[in-house]
Amino acid sequence: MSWLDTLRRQVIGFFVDDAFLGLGTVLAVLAAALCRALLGGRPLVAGALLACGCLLALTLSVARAAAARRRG
Amino acid sequence: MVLTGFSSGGAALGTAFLASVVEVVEAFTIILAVGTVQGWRPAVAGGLAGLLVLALVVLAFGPMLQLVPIHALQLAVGVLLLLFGMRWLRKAILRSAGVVPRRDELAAFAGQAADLITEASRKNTRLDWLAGVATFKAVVLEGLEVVFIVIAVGAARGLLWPASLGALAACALVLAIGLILQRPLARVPENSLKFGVGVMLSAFGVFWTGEGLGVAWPGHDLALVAFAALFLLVGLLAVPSVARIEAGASQ
Repeated sequence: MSWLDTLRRQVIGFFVDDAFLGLGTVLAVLAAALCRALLGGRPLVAGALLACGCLLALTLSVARAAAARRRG
Repeated sequence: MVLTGFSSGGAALGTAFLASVVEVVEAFTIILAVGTVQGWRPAVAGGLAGLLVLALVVLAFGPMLQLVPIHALQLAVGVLLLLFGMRWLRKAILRSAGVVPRRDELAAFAGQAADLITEASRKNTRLDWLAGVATFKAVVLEGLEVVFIVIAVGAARGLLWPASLGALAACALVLAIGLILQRPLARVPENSLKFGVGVMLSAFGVFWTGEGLGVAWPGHDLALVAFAALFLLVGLLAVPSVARIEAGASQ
């Protein structure tokens, strides 16, 4: 059973390593989906929000890791 | 249209190939450590059992993908690709900047061999069994990542064949080189590969998620190139910035 537990944790770890990045990515997708629902006629706005949101989440996640390291 | 189909097929093949190189090198290091410590029979047996499990996973879940509506599949695969790809890219940026130590195949090899011996003496278990389990776990865990990448970059637009071909070519190449050299493939630029693959998987992730949400990207499949360029730019800009912070921290 411990091996199955390890496998489960490994599989989750495939996708989420840093909770901030995982949450930021999901929020970007949700924001894009909401935008798509509200501005149905302009899907590119949702697309731009998705791309920019993901890039922002990545940048902030990397900056947070560096800042955490600096604080020791 | 032929051009864009060719470009997305090439991107799927290349991404699956490079990602699989990273994963197969990691699995090969463990198999080699086990084979060196305990002989090749348990190492190969565990590896083959792992491949059998992976084949069963593909046979069980593969046909189910056909039943999922294309937009739902694109959305689900896109979000998972974003999570997976940006995780790789983040790690590669932090490794390039010196915040996180780079993976060392020689150290991983030595560590795996030492673990195997320690575990056997601690549990008083047959070393053959532990050796087989170690290679089985390595093949299943690294292989699951390969299977996910192949399905993720291939399934949403009928690109499973080029993606599978890329993964198989990577397996064949790494195993052939590994069997010839008989030592860990420490000179493979693992972090650069991870950086590049992270960029491509993140680009695929934005592309599929957008398509799943009903976004018609300008330039169709060529939008992938634009997303890859954006992630590459952000990654390349992040490395020196983070390295400067890291240098300040270590002074």
